[in-house]
Amino acid sequence: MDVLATLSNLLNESGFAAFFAEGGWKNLVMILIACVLLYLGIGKKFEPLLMIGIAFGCLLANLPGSEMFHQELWDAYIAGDAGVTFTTIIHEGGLLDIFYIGVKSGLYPSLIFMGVGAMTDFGPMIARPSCMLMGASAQLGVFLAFFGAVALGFTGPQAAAIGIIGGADGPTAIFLTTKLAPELLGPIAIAAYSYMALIPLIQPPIMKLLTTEKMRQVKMEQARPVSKTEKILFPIVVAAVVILLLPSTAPLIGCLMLGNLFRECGVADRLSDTAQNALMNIVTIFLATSVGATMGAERFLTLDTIKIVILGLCAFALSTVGGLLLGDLMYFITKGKVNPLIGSAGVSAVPMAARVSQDVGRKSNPNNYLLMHAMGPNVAGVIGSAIAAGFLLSVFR
Amino acid sequence: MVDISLGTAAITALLGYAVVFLGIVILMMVISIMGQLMKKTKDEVIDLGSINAPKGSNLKEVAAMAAVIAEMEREE
Repeated sequence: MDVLATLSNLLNESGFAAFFAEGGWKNLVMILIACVLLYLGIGKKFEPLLMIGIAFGCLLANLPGSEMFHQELWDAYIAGDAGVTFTTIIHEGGLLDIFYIGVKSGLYPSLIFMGVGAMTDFGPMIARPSCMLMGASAQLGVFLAFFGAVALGFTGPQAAAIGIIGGADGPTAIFLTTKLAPELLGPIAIAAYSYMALIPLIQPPIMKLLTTEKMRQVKMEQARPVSKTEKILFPIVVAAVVILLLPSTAPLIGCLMLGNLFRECGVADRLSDTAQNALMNIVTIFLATSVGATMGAERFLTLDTIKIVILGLCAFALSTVGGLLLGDLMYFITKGKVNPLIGSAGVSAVPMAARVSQDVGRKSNPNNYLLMHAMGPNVAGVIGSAIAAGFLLSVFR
Repeated sequence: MVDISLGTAAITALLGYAVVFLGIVILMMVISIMGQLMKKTKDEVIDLGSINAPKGSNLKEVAAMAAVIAEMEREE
């Protein structure tokens, strides 16, 4: 046995050698990006529960020779090549390919929505239904970013997936992107979750720009109490109405409302607890790592990624503007009874956007507690972004 | 619809925004109606308390008690 030849073969077949092969440097760049994302998640606490998984998935997928994710298999599946099914992928794919089946089928985002539903109290929204309009108005960024993306040369389905970043709702963004533009999943997921983490930096300047000091000081009246029966009926009614209106929203709205029914019915505490803790955590691990795995060098290191990052920021900012403008309008219509700051919470990042409304409000009036008032538009934003996604899905699918 | 013109994109965006508002307004109306029905049911409980009050008793006090009971039931 030639020891030197064996060692040479080992070295040539190793992942290290692949870095020096053609295009290998791109993998190195992606590994560096994965490390930066890990730093943001761990060091800066940017949506750490998702960011760590996404970054590590990216790292694993870009280590040459790991064979954990096979983009070519998924390309063949999407192209409808004969013989490539989920079964083929299970047999021929790697571990992250198997995880990714849950993303591709829409399973993980829907299960995350079930957990979100189980964690969310829709009481503030039921008590003051008019605040739901701010949740609708805050979808402005979705549609303006969609238009901007078309103007920048993206196709309709790609533009729709990019626009939904403005909904500030990670699972919805992943759900829609997987259905319409799976090739953009990595950059869109990174943009969506990064900007959600940056809400406390992005929103306050816009809030101060679009409101006066007097407006920010408004103390809102306590909303009416909501009965248990109303809270139980709410998920049933919302699921029926929204799904009948836009059937394509069924997986997201159906799971969101099922989770909420678990929470409110009072006789399924174990299910509610599982949906908002164990199930949510398990699904988050699978979702994050498999989304990270789609960040292959060939797909991620393109000009499109930069465009998506810029469009995503515009979408977030414009959604905030949309919510605030309706807040201003409601301030004038109610003759100063509504604090327009709660409009910015219409972007559906729950509960961070509501907390930002509270923080900015308290800076103008330290005795002002806007959190519960802002939760109304905030949870309405979740429903609003799901409706927006359902519309785009029905147009472009 | 894959490659779309700017005009089509603008119409799609407007239509989408309108659909979101439409959906939310319908939901808002349904929730408002539900809230009114619940309030009416609660008021009926209070009225029932007043009707069953014995002659000569303080009706306002009985109504207030009925409201408290209704509130407690709601909290349960």
